Amino acid sequence: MEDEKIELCCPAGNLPSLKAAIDSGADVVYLGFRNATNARNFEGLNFTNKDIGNGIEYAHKKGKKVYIAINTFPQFHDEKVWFESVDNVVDLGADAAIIANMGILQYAAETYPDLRLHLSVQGSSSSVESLSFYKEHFNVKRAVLPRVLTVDEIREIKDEMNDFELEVFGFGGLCINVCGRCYLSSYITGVSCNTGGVCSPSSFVSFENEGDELKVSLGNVVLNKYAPGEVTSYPTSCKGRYYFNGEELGYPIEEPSSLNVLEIMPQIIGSGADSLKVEGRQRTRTYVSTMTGILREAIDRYYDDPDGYYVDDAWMEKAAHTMEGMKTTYGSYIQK
Amino acid sequence: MTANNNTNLSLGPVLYDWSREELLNFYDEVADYPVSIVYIGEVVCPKMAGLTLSDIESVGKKLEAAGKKVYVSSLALIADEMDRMRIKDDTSLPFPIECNDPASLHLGKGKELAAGPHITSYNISSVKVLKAAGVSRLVFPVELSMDSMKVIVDECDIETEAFAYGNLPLAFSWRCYTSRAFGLLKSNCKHDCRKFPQGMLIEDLDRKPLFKLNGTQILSGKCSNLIREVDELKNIGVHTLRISPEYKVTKEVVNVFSKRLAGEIDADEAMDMLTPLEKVGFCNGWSHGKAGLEFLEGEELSGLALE
Repeated sequence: MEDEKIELCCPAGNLPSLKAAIDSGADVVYLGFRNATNARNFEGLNFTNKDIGNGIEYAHKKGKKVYIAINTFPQFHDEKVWFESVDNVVDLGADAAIIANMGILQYAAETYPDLRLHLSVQGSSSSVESLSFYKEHFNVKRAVLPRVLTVDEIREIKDEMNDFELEVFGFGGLCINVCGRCYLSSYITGVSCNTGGVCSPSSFVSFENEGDELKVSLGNVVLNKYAPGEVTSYPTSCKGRYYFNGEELGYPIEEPSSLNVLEIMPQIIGSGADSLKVEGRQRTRTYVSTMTGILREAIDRYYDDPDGYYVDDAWMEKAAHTMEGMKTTYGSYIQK
Repeated sequence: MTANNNTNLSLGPVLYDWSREELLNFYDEVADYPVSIVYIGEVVCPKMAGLTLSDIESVGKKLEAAGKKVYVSSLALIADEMDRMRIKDDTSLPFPIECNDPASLHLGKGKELAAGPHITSYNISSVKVLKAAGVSRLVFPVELSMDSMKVIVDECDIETEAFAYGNLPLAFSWRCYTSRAFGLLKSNCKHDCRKFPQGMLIEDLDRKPLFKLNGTQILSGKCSNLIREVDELKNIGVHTLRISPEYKVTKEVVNVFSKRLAGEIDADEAMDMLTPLEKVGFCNGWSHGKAGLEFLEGEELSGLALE
């Protein structure tokens, strides 16, 4: 695939967002069902089978693809729901299934040998040895890499596994802990990200005015207190303020920030990654169309003239606007 | 009825950055602990490891000579080349491997393998895959309830182990949180984790303890304690209860669990012996299907048993 442009893979939480992504230049849209098989299992979000059918028709007519994420971990009593979701991916004619759990991968590989399988970021596979395990056992063709590697480390994996596709995150919300092995939210709420598909469920989040300050809690844990005018963000325990030994530590795990690789697009493409993924199936159609459009332009500009690549100020402004003024970061891509 | 009258104890890997001397002394004592299985090796960060590879090999041999089953525990996250080298070295040691990342399942092919608590094995079909890959022992994910454990024990014909005591491993990152607290990065770390043999306890904005930072790992602030669940775990048929080493108290904790398993003391007596050993407090919520940080006691527990 290295002769072709890096694939632009964009999120959709509903049919209008899917169409917006396709119309704005996405090569692929990824989405999920409206149940716990989906790591973005938020209320009012996601697709019915009918919507997925319509979305796939829309994408295929324009020569684009749709991947369906089944990226959580069933518990013993509900495995059937995950198996049926794999059946649905095949029945609906999606171009690939993005799967996290070994048991579900096994079912998909055995039942549908022709179905294209991708390993989800929730599978947290970050080395040649781990990727080889998934490739050998389930004939996985691609992995969405966890956000733990530098561009040089991604290049090294690609050099060793040339025929295996790698998908990397380019924009959006950022898990600082490796996905699929993070129990912070479950520890506080009892709702598992891995099996329930929701980190920091909104039903556990509360906002309370305390004098001038806005106090934000998850369950009984106070994660932040915002001064008037301070930029607020959705509370997750990895992006909370904490104390150590009576001293305020600020944000010891991660500051509220979002990933943005526009400035390092040449290094990202140079890593040999096959696909660039935008996070945010829970975001609005405007977010999807804005970020898809900007990344389309950036990727095309790079391939037109790799040495002359530059970033428009307007891209960065619009990107910052979509992330409500949060700081941006390169994550682990440049320095760890 | 799958009640297991032979439920035994294991000692999990040391998760903190203890010095080489402390670790060597610790494992000298472990040889006499009433545990059947000992996990040694580095799960969190290769920069942390107090023991060299040859130390691990000689400690492992000594423990085997003392009648213990020894597993080498391997890293839970491979985030750079140093991690990758480490996992290759660990899986080449002459012991069974506790795999905490699929990389060690791949590298340990043909060896006796255990799936550690960081392999997400919540369901029967995943356990079947693991068994086909050579795994003969399953350490349940820490958030698994006893209801789910029971199904896996009943359906999967595999040795099982539950995390029964110690601060719970909650998350791993490429970032070193201890270094970050000192304004450093993992790549230029100064081994500040050595200063925190019990982890760095952080508190929320109401000053309630929440998590412990331990290098690239985040642990629960509270200590998981399933001493009151020992009978239920035995009845379910769980083969092994894991004690995760905590600084300076491990020997006493192991002795309390051993006496409780043997029926020499009841749960209240055991609880009275464990309480002075833990400063922050206990939790057991996940085992009852609640939030991990909750601690259910007394009527709450008997209420659950009646359901």
